[in-house]
Amino acid sequence: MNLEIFYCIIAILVIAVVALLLRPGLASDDSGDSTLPETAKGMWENQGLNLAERILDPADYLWLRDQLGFPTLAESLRRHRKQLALQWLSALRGSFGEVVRSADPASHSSAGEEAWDSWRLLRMTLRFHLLLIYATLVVRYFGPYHRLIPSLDWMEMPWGALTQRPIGRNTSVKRSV
Amino acid sequence: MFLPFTAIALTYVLGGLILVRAWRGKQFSRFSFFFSYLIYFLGTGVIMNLVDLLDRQDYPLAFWLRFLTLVVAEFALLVEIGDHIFAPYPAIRSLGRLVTILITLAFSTVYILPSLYAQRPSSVAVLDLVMRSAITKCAVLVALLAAARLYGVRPSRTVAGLALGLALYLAISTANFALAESWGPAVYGQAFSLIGPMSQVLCLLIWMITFWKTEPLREVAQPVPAGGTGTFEPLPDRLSRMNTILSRLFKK
Repeated sequence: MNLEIFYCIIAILVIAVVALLLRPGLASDDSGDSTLPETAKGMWENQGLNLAERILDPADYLWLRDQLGFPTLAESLRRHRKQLALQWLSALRGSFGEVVRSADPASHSSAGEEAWDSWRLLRMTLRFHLLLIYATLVVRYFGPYHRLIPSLDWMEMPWGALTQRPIGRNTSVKRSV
Repeated sequence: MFLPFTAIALTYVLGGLILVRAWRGKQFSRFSFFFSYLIYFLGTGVIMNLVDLLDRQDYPLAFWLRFLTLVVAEFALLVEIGDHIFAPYPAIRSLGRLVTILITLAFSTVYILPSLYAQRPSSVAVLDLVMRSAITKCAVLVALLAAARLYGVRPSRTVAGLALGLALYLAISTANFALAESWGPAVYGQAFSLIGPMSQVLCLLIWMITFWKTEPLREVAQPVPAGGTGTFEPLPDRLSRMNTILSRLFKK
C-alpha cells in the first residue's frame, strides 16, 4: 500500500473515532442528577465489604473439597464464586467511577497545593484502576481464591534453610488453590 | 486563484465572528489559550498576506516560521482541551496533561525525531515533520476523548466542538501533507494550496457554531455523606481508603 493512501485512511479513521467518542449517550452527566445513585452507596460500607470477603474466602471451598470429599461440588462452588467475584469487581469499578466523577467538598487548598494535590489524586486513581484491572485478570484466569500479590516465598528458600523455618508455615497454600 | 482567495477571506470572517461572539459571551478568560491561539493565527495571517503583497522573496520563510509556531501552539491547545474535559473532577483533574505529555513524548521519541535524521530535501523534511506532528496531535486528541469515555466523563458542548474542529483540521492536514510529500508540487501543488485553507475554514466554521451559543458551567455530582453521618469524607481519604480495601481484600 502506498504511504499516502495509508495516511489518508488514518485521517478518515481519526475523524470517525473522534465523532464516535463525542457522540452523546453517556448516562453519567446527561441525567442532571447531582447526587450519586444507590449503586454507589453501601459498596464501601461494612455490609458490602463483608459480602466481598465472603465471596473471596476459600473456607467453604476447602471444607467441601478436603473435609467432606466432594471435589466436583467444590469446583462448581469455585466457578460460581468466580462469577460473583467478577460481578462484584465490575460493580466496584462502577462505584469507583462515580466517586471519581464527584466533587471534593472538603477541599480548601491554595492554587499551588491544588496542582500538587491533583497529581496525587490522579496517582491514587490510576493506582486503583491498575489494581482493579489486575484483580479482574487474576480472578478471571486464576479464580477467586488466588492471591493478588504473587507469593514470593520461593525467594526466601536459601534463608529458610539457614533459619530452619518449619515447612508448614507457607500461608500462600491456602489462597493459591 | 479565486477559491484560495475565498477560503482566506472566509477564514478572517469566521475568525472575527468567533472572537466577537466570545467577547459578547465573556468566554475569553475561560478559554484563554484558545483565543490567544486564534488571535495569533488571524494576526499573523494578515501579516503574511501583507508580506505576500509587498515582498514575495521572504514569504516562504515567513510562512514556515508561522506554520511551525502554530504547530507547536496546537500542542498547548490540546493541553487546554484536556484541562477543560477533566477540570470539574478533582480525582482526574491532571489526567489530560498526563495523557498529552506521555503521548507527545512517546511519539516524539519513536516517530517524529527519527524522521529528522533522514537524508532528504528540506521541503520534504518540513512536510514530513508537520504531518507527523499532526498525527501525534490526532493521537493525543483520540486518547483524551477515550480517557474521558473510560471514566464516564462527557466533554461540554464547547469542548466537544473545539475537539471536533481541531480533529477535522488535523486529519485533513495529515492527508494533505502526506499527498503533497508523495506527489510533489508539480502534481499536487495547486490542490495543496486549496485544501489547506479549506480545512481551516471547516475548522473555524465548527468553532463558530460552538461559540455561537454560550454554555453554562456544568455542575459536578456531590458525594454521599460517609456512613450516613452527614459529614463528607475528603476525596484523598476516600481514594486512599478504596485503594487500601482493594489491596487488603486480595492480599489475604
